[in-house]
Amino acid sequence: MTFLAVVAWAALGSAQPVGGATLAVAGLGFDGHARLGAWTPVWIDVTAGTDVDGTVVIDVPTPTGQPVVRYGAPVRAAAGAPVRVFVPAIFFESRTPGTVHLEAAGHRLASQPLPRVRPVDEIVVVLSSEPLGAEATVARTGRVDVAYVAAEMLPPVWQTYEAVRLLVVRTLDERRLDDAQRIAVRDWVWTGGRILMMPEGDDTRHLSGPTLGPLRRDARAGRLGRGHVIVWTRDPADPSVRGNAADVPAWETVLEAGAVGAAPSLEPAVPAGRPVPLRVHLVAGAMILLYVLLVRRVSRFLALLQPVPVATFVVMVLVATAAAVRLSVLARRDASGVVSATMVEMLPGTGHGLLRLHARVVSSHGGAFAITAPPGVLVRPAPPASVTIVTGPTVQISGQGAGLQLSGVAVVPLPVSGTYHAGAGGVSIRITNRSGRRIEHPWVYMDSRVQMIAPIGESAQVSLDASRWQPADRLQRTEPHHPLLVWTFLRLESDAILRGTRNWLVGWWRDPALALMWDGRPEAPLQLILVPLSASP
Amino acid sequence: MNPVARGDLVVRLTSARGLRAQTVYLAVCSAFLLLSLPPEIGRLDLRDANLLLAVLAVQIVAVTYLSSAMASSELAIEGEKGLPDLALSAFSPGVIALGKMLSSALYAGYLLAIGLPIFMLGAALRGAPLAPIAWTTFLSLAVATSAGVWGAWFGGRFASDFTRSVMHWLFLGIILGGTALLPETWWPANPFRATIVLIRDGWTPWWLATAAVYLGLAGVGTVLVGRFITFARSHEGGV
Repeated sequence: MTFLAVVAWAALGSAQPVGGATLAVAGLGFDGHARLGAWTPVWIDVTAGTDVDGTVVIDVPTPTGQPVVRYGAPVRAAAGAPVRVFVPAIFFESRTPGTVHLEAAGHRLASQPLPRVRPVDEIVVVLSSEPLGAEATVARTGRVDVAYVAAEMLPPVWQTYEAVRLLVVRTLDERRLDDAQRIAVRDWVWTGGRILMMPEGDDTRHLSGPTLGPLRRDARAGRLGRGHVIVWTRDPADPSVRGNAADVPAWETVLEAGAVGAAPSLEPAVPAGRPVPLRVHLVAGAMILLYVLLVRRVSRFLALLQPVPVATFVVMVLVATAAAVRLSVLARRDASGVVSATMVEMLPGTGHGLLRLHARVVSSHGGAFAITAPPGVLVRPAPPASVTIVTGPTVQISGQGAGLQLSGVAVVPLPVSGTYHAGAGGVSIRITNRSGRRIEHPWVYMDSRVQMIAPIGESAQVSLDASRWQPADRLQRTEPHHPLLVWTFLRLESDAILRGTRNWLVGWWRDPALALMWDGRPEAPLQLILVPLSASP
Repeated sequence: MNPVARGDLVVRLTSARGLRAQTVYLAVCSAFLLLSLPPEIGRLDLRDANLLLAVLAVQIVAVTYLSSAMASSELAIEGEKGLPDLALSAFSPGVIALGKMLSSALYAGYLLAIGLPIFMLGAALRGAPLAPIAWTTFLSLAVATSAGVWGAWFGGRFASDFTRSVMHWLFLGIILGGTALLPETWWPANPFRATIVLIRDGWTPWWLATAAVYLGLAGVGTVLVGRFITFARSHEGGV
C-alpha cells in the first residue's frame, strides 16, 4: 500500500508540477510566415509560478515524425514575472510545426503546441505604420509574401533572417529595438541581406538612427559586405501616392535580386576521419612492453606451481585485463571528437568575415556527447537528427551516437587587409594583420593561379616569384588540408560574388575561440581565411 | 600434481626457449593489435566482425601451434621429456598419458591467460562485444589441448623428424583448414567458422558440441599416448 501511495504521489507530482507555468507563443516566424527548412524566429512568453532556471525547448519533428530536433534557449524567470524568450528553430511541417516545452531540473513544467505557420519561399519583412501598396508586385515575384512586423519582433539573431528576401524599413521607433536586434540587422546585411529604407512621410529621423545610420554611412554604391543597402528618398506608402503605377518598376528592381542563394556545403571538405591521438599509441605500446616484461618474470615464479605463485599470476592477469579495458575506454574517449572544415570569408568594407563550418561528430564510445559552439555560431543538424541545440551566450549541442553532422555560420572579426601592386619588377603584396594571430601556410590566389608564401605575422610585404605559380586546380594531394583548399579555390572561381575579385590571400588561422569545444577541449581549431587583395594605389 | 605435467610446465615456463616462445607469442599479438589500431576508432566499417574475427583467429592459431609444436618436439624445449624418454621411466602409461594431456591443457590455458589483456584491449578499443572472446578462449583451449596431445603422440610415434613434422602440420592443416572445406552443415567443426557463427549469431549449443568434439579428440589422443607407452615398453629395444 505504501508503495502504491508513493507511486501515485510521484505520478501526481509529475503531472502537476509545483508552482505551475504557462507558455504562450508571442511570435512565430515573421507574422506567422516561415520557410520550411530555414531558420525561423520564435518568441515565447514564459510565466512561472515559482522561480525557474531552465530551458525553453521546441521539439520539431521531421515530416516522417523522426528524428525530432530540439531547439532551445535558456530562461530565468522570477515567480509570476512574464519573460519573453527568443528561440531560433527550423521547421519542417507547416500544420504542426512542433511543440514548445519549459524544462527545468530534468522536469517538464509546461507544454504548448505551436500554431501552424504560413509556408512561403521568401518573405518581404516590412516595418511600416501604413501598407506599402506593393503587395501585388511582390505577389507576382513568386511564392513571396509580405509580413508586417513590429520593431520589437525583429529577431536578435541574424541567421533567422534566412528566409527574408527584403527588409523594408519605413517606420522605426529605435526605443523598441535593442542592440542585439540592431547587430542582427547589420550582420544580416553584411552577409548578403537586402535592406530598403525610406522616409515615413517627411520624417527621416530613423534613417540616421543607430540602426540604419551606420548602414547608410558604410555602404559604398549601395553595397555593404555581400549585401545591399537601398535608400529611397520618397515615401511610396504615403496614403496620397500609395499604389502609384509608376512605382511598380522600382519595386520590381528592388525585389528581383533578393535573397542570396545558398552557399555550397562544406561537407566535401570535412576530413574523412579523426586520427587516434599519438599518445594513445604510445601509452598502449608502453603498457604492452611493460606487461611482456612482467610476464617473463612471473612466468619463472609461476613455475614453482605453488598456490601463492598461481594466485599471483591470476591476480596479475586480472589486473592487467582490467587495466586494458580501462585503457580502451580512455582511448576511445580520447579518439572521440569532431572533425570539421571552417572557412572565414572577408565581408568587404566591414572588417569582419563570414564564418562557415561543417562538422561531423566522431564518437567512438557511441554514448552521449556535448559540444559547445563559439558565441554567435548558430549550428543546425544537417541532415536533421535527434539532437538538442540550446542557443544562449554560447550554443550547446547535445546528442548521442556518432555521425551527426552540423553546419553553421557566424559573423566574426577579421582584421586583416591586403593590397597588391603589379609593376615592371613583378607582383608584390602587402598584408596588414591586426588579429594578433599568425597566418599559417598562406597562399596568394591570382587569376586561377596560386603561390604559397611565408607565414604572416603583424604585417608582410612579399614579392611574388613568377616561377612559383601553379594552377589552383592542380594542388598537390600531399598539401595539408587539401580538400578544404581545393574547395575554396573552386569557390573563388565559381561563386557569383567572390569571382568578382580575382586576387585573394588564403591562409590558416589557429583560433580556439572559433572552434567547437568537445569535453572542454577545442576541436579542429584551424580556420581557413579568405582576404581579398585590392589594387595598391 | 601429475609429475609429467609438472615437468613439462616447469621447463616451458622457465627455459630460455620457453620464455622466448611466450615473448614472441605476446609480441605477435601486440604487433597485430598496434598495427590494427584504426585511424578512426569509431568508424562503422572498422567495428565490423571481421576485425574481431581476425583477432580471435590469431589467438586460436598461435596457441594451437605453440601447444602442439612443443609437445611434438618440433619446437624442442631443453629438458622436456618426449614419449620415448618417458617410456623408459617408472611412470605408468596412464600417468604419462594424463600428464601429457594436462600439460597441453595447462600450457594452452597459460598462453590464453597471458594473452587475455591484449585481446581484451583489441576488442574493447573497437567497442566489440567481449563475450565472443570468452567463448573463443574456451574453444581455443579445447583445440590447443587436442593438438598438444596429438603432437605428443606424433613425437613418440614417428622417430623421423621429417615424418613427425609432416604429420604435425598435416594434423594442424586438417583441424584448422581441412574442416573449413566441409559442407555448411559441418562448419561448426572448424574453429574459425565456429567463431564466425559465434560472432554473427551468438552462442549456440553447436558451440559446446564443437568444443566437446575437440575435447573428445584430446581424449582419443590421450588413449593413443597411453597405448604407445604400453606398446613401447612391450617392444623395448624396438622403439
